Amino acid sequence: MTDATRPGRPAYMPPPQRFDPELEQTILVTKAEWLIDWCRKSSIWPLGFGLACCAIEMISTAMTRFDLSRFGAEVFRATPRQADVMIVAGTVTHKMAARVRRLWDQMSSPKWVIAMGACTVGGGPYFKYGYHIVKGVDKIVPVDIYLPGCPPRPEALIEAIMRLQELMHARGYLLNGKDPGYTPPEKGSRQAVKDGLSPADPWTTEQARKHDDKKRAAEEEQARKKAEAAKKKAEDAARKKAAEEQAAAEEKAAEEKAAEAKPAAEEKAAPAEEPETGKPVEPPAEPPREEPE
Amino acid sequence: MSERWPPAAALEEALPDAVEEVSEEGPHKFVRVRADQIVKAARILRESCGVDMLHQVSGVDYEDRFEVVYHFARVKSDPGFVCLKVSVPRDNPVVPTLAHDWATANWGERETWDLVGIRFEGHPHPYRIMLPEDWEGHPLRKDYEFPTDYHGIDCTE
Repeated sequence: MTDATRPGRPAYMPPPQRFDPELEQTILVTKAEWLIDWCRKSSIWPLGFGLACCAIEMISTAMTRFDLSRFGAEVFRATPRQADVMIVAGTVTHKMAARVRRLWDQMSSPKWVIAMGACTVGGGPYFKYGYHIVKGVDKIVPVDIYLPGCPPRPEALIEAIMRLQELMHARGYLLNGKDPGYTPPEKGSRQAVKDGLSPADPWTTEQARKHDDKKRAAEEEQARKKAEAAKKKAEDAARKKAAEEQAAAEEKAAEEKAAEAKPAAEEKAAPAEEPETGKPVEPPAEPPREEPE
Repeated sequence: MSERWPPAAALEEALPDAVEEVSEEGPHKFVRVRADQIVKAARILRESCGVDMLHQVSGVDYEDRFEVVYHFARVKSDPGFVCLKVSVPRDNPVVPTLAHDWATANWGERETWDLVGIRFEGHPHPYRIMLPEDWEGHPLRKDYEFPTDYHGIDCTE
């Protein structure tokens, strides 16, 4: 559902219902769901959680000059258990990744994540090719709002908070903060490169090639071992079969010998039984019909 | 040359066997000493040249060898730097620790172990300082292989 007055954006307020103008001054008629969402989006409690330089901008946003409290989001909490929104402000390293994930796990649902700055969006302008960088915080936690910039201006963070408020209304209380159309970002962007959906990056390609080579080598090794084992098994089976066949052949030969000896004995006894089936029994001759006189 | 560089002269006088190379050219002078004599050399610097601070310990990978570079400083009087270098073979990079004489060496040597993989014998706490404890390899080595996956997080992107 989109708002007609602001195309492309989700409507977060139900269309006004016309009542008696005097009544409208004092009474607001709406859905409970809408009211809960309105409360929720008007009192966002972010997690006070900064990782790098973006945190300075986040602090600045909360202070008097930019005054985030105008949008109801000024109560930065020092514990994840009291927070709604995690603003991941700064570079996420592999050492920090587990902590970020744990903080997110400790937040009570419904919860939202804003990836603030280039580092959390996709690894960053400086460190992306570093050995210690998580290339985008969406590899660890689901992200609702991506906020690019290095670092983003406080106005940009305010914009992100306002978009998040719209999102909170669009998704709604009954959906428990989850967008029904939301699917977590695909991990296999290498696949995207392969499919030609995103341009190939030389470094990425190189790493992917190394990774694939390693994997292929391991697979080949495994296949070789498997084939060897199968071959050995087949050889064993063939040997066993050959031995069995030989045994069977010997047995058969012995049986044939015995059988040859037996018919000879039977033949001798056979002629005595012969006469019974000798000549066909002739039907008794019909007495000639007497001609009627 | 009118005058020797005092630290080099002091080291050559006290440890003639240990000094491998002296470079007094240019702005960055250094003395290269034998790896097993680095503790003694540092003590001589402190006693005879007034060096009272270890600024940093760093490791360099030259592909055929490793080097540990120590930057000492004189801060109380006549400020200045003294640089000591130590070469160690690549297959067994071990250097005696300075952590017992110079408190700053403790973390510097841990960092050098963490990133370049040079062991410091006798270090009181010879573990990684910056990377996670279960990290594999030493990233600032020239032959370091980038991880493709760390705890299920794809690193190849």
